[in-house]
Amino acid sequence: MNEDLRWINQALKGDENAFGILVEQYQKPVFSLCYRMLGNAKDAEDAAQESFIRAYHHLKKFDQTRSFATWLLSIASHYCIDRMRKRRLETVSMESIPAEVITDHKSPNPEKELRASESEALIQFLLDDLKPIDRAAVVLRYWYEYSEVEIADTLNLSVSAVKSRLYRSRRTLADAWLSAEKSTSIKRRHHESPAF
Amino acid sequence: MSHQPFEDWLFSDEQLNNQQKENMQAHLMQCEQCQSVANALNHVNTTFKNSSNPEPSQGFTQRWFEKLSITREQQKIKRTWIIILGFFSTATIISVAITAVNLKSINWAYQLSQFIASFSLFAGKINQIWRLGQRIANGFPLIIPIMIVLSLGLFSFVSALFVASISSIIRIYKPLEEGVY
Repeated sequence: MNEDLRWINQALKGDENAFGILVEQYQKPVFSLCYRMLGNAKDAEDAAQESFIRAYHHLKKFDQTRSFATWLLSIASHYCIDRMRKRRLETVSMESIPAEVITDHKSPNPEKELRASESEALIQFLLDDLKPIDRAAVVLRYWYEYSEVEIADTLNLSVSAVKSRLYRSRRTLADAWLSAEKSTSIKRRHHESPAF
Repeated sequence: MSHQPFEDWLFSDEQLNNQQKENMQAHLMQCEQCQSVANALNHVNTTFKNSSNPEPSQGFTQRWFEKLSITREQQKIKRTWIIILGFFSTATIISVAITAVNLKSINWAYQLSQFIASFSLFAGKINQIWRLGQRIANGFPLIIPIMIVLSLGLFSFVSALFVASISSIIRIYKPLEEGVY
């Protein structure tokens, strides 16, 4: 934290490289949040880059008593929410989502990669039904283990709003899981060869 | 069968006390619907927990520095446009203000007669040009299609220039997404 403040203060004096160190340090959590929000590596890269640019340009507004990571994730969440709202009408099929990112064709363990890719597709399928703010709340809760208070702080919501959004999201996630399970069992039934 | 408060307990994040846990277990034994929801939620939790964190490709920070320099250039262009537009807006406002002040001291009857006189003169000139045009057209009939083609070409060029300048202004001033800083 103190180390962060040192780099932040140097960046405020115009030292770009000091902010570069912060980019290096926080690129993974910011990218990961953007990826969980947007569902593909290309959009996640753009969103993460843009979030750091915004953070750099608005560094003067950063309250140094707060956590820098929370502030960064707040910027990234809001940026991703805006982007999701803009592309809301576009439909993304479950199959087309994340194979491009996770599957490394040169991987020595293609089976493991395939499983990871399937798991990613399932995660994106589950998250896709959530509204942008609900999705951000779920991502912060499950992948960052943020408390309801921290989520409220990051997303500029009241704690009761976060509670009701998480409640609604869990219901949606459970429904999505059940529908996925149902469609998988139907598919399996179709593919099974009849027993003679 | 009533699913409350069990459904609420399943979807909320609150810790249950021992009595509540027992009641929940008893309900899940009897209620197939709540049982399937509880299983689904468990699967969702496990899937999320077991997932790996995606990482950016190598060279993220370098790409960020490149993006920062591009953003700086764009901001410079934006600032130049703001100065140009600000200058022209100020000049327009000043001109309108001066005209508004001058309008008070105008002798309207005199101005109207002057306007009518100059309009008649203008109409006379137009008439002369029209007659000259007719004489040329009579002597050289091809002049009419040539003039039409030239006029259309000039009109298209000016329109394209206008559209290009407007679209470049819109691109530069496209508002950024709102965020909380």
